[in-house]
Amino acid sequence: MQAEPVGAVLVVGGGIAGMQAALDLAEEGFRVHLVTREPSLGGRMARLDKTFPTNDCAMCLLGPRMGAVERHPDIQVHTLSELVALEGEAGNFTARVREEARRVDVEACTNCGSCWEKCPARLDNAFDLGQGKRKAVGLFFPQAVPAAPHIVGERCLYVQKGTCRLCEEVCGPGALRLEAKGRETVLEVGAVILAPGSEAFDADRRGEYGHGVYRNVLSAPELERLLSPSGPTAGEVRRPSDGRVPRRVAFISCVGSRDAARGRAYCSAVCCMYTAKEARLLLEHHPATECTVFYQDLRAVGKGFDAYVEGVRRMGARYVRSLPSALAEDPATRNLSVRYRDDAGFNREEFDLVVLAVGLEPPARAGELARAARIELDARGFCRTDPVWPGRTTREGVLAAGAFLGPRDIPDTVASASAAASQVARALAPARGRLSVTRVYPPERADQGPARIGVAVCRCGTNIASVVDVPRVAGFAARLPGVAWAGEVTYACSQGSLAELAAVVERESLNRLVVASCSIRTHLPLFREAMREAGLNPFLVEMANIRDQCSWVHRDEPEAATEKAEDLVAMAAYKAARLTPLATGKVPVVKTVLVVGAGPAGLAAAMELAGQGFEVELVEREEHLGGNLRRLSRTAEGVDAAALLAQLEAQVAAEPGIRVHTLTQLVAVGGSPGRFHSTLERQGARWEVAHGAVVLAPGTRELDQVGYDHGSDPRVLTALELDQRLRREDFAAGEGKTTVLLACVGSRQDDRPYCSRTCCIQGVRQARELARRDPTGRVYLLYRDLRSYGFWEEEYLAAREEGVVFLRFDPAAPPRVEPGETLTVRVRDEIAELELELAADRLVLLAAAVPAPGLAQLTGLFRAPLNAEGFLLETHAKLAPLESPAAGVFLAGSGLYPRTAGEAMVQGRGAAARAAALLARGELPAGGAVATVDPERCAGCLTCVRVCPYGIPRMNALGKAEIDPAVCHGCGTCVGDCPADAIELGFYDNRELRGKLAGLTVRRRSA
Amino acid sequence: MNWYPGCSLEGTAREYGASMREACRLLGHELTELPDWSCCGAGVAGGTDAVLSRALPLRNVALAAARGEELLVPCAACYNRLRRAQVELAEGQPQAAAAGRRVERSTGRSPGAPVRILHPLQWWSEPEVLAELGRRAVRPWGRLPLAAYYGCLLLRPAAVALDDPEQPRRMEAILTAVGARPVAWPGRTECCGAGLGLAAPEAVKRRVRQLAEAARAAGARALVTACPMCQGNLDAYQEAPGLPVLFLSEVVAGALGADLKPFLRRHLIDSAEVADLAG
Repeated sequence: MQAEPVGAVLVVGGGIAGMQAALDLAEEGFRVHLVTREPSLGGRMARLDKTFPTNDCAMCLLGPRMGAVERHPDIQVHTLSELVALEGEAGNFTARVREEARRVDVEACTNCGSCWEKCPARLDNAFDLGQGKRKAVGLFFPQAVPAAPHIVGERCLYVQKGTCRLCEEVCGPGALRLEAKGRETVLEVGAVILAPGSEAFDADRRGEYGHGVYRNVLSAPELERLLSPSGPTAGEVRRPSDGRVPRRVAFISCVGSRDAARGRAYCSAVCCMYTAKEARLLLEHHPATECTVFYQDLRAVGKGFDAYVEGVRRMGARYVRSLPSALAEDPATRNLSVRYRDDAGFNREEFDLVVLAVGLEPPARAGELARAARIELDARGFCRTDPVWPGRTTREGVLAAGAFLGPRDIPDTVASASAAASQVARALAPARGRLSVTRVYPPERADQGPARIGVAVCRCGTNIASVVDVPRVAGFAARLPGVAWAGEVTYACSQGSLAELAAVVERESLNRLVVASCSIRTHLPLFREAMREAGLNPFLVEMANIRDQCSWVHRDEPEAATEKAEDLVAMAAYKAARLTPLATGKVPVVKTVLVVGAGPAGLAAAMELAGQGFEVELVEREEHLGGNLRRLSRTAEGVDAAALLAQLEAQVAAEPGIRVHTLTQLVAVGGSPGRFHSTLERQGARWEVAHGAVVLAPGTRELDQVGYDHGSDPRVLTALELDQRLRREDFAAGEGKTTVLLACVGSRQDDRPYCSRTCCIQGVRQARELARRDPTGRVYLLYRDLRSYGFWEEEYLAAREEGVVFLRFDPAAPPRVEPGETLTVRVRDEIAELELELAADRLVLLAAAVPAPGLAQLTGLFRAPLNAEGFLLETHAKLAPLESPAAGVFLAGSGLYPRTAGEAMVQGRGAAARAAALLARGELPAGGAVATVDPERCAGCLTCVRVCPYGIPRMNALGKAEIDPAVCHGCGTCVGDCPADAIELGFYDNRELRGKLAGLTVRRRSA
Repeated sequence: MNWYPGCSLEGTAREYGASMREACRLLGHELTELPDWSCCGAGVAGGTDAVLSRALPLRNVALAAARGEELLVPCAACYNRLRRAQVELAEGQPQAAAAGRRVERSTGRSPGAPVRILHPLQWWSEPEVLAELGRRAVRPWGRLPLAAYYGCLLLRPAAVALDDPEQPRRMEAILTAVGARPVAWPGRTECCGAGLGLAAPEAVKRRVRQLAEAARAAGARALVTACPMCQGNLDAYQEAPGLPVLFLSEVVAGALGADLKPFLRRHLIDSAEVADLAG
């Protein structure tokens, strides 16, 4: 690489992976070009109704994330665009990006909806997978970002025939660009992250299930759209054939997964869980629904997943272990009959609706992308990558993230995106901040004299003005006390209007601004920013939502809607009169990270952080680095563990930025996020280190109380004990012995309900290794559900072909082991319906992974919570998987939930990126709309400490609560709960809110 | 057009052969019998000699290749044997390769030479032929509900399938073109059970009953097949009163104006009433 890399990055893909990578890099001071083929950000997640296992609304999670990307000054979003060529080399690429014409000027458009109301061309809605209709000009989906429509050229009457132009006629701000042509842009970037995601398997390819022929057969993504309140049926699931609510619904798993005949031998890793989720949603909509899930192995390999499936079963879903080979449609009723075989024999059953749980496959245009970026794909069509460094492609400087690397769920996608961002930040570290946009604001004008309020009443094209009498509201506003100027604007949020408002503020010497328009949530940041540029403190801007709350909901009552608008404007103006400028200070951040735990996750995090130029204090309780890597022969990814560890140790030793502390424990933590000072202890000696953030990577250990005479009978080993022996190449070689591996020892049972995730895949690897070394021996693996998720399914297939015998047992009748000359293992084989007796020379227990001892103590120091099973709790299971709700604390590895070494390293790198984003800014913004405690009134009752969802309030030496303005989220929970009324929230203090109440009655009083 | 009648069309399913000639004639094509054709090997050879079972069909492939670009093979079993042997030879399957060498020695012609083994279901469902059928249908079927039945030999294995093996559409397209109304019914691609006629007649009866009931429940007035084995089996094993089982060629020939009586007289289930429904 050359000395001067370019401080800009190209991210391909607008889904969660692309957005996460873009945000991480922008936060770290890089310029980001985010390129997506779609008209909006969002990716596959935008099409989901809910997410497992928290049942959160997908759009509610995604909306703020999309907004954050769009608003970030260092991220430029290129929609309807794709990478066509990538020349140059790592550090200095030239990317050619082709952009299709949107035909709508996103800057000028106010998203008022007039164009698509008038557009006469209807077409199938591609976003809803052809269910429901849209117009040729329209939003990709209601919450699309950028919030502007696009024109589907193939169906636009003007583009096709040169007629119509209705949209142009009705567009108030003149945002239509019907003549626009596609264009090509050349971007200079230092690195590229490819995150094009995955696509759903086309269910039509499994003709025996009749998708596309039988009307009441849906694919799971189609059902998801029907379940969504913003979908084509507003959340009502009805049968396509007759509109009836389906009572008997069958889900068929593994459609396009585990299907070697169609080139899809791998497991898609997410279908078992989204099936459980969709069944649950159906049951929530209509509790009388009879849901039947046909499945092969239930692969609930994630945190809380088994408990989630159990919950769905309790709600009434029936799980049948069988893969139906075909469906038959009754031509009269359009019902579907399923013939299947379960443990009891052949059955035939009829259903009203059948849902096909389709798998994930590489994006259709993966080949074109690979050619453009000059990277290689694997045999399946996914991105070819490195088992030690998932995310590295075959071309230096080009990284990959998300499902392009193989099927995975949302948190693993987010983790891989942060990991890729970390790698890029490391490579481009010398150029950090060079191309990032720094906004310079004029100095704030002193707030002197009485309030001079400006009130701008927005017409929103005709959105507000067609119902609310806007001139009357503006006239009313002008007569309110303190109002120095009131006027109408057509679109307050357009760039033109914002400039106009700034000029009015200047001309009329206004010191407060009220905008009566639309949603505060989406638009307040915009008006605050504009006023800041005009020299006004951003907290002197208030809004009234007279569109959503007046014209939209009271369309048929214009008089009442106008009166309500007047009330809302009066409330806003009265509050504005009482607003005080709020200071936004900055707190410097110590550019050192404490990494606790030196297993694969901690080592990866430390390497990344040091590589990016930050100081690292790496703390390990044991004598050596490596954690469980020291005990494995190979990682689940097949990498030689000893060689990998040696390599990591050498890298850490060669990295001057890492200070290693082995046999060391963290005993106390002081300070606050951005400037922690923690006490370390080694053999009685204690010292303090200062650090801005911490990465907790504590790992797991193997369960020790496993039974089966383990410890007394030398023939009984745990998986890690076997692996330590397998490190010797001659172990078990040619001895002609029988080995039985027993899965789920200590996992998925009442007192430990979770799946330990890695045992099945490690067991498959060990079984194959034993079969290879000892060709005359026999290897059996006894399992409940063989959870070889993702590409590991192919290892499972290979193991079967190599002669490993897999026997499924019923957890109600687990295998029994009788010691003797050989170990007699008795197991009932559910498939053969036979009681088998295996004479084993060796019994290997695939034992549960349990949280490292002392984890609660460690996390208590940072007030980082644990879940019920004793694992680290993340801020959000989907979109913030590597952060603790405790500020400044980042999480990685098996301490979150059991992981393979490769996955743990991805998380370590991802956590490093999240921590680096905090450190790279160098300072934490503090103040603004945050909570402040009045120590005079605080009784020290601890209510705020308990209710704060982020764990921010602390008690000081005087027994009074303190809230760090640098980390307070400003949610107001503590304010509402404080019994002494001792906490105030900026921008919402009592005086301001009392003003609002006074404004509510002013119209009636004056009438 | 060259055609290969095989033994069925000259024996047990003579009406299939006769109606096929008639339908083709009315479509403007005279059929020329492949000279010196021999058994396709679908009978006992397949189970007794792996090379012979491929040499027999390949001999006919070699003869056909020497005479033209395509060979019409209306019997589903013959079609299956000829196509499979051809595909296996192209894929280099060892027994097919051995058979190919044997055929080349005995006939002096290469069985690997290009020739399209064409089943009428393929030919008639090509877009321009469908249009031609519509134009020439002087007695269209007046939207008579018919159940298209494909059976197994035309669709399995997938390598020789002449349509989507799970959701075929070609026969429905032909029936629609000649004015009939194909019904949606389950069972189109199920096995008819003919292979078990001697070994397990009860199982065959059960299967035939299921198929006839399913077609009837969908409103079909007759089953339509393009396989002599299916026709014979479904015709013979139904309980009275049976659902008529027509050959696709009869349905097409009838629409094109042919007198169906001489063909239908040979069916066991009385099909005269159905034939009268042709417009």
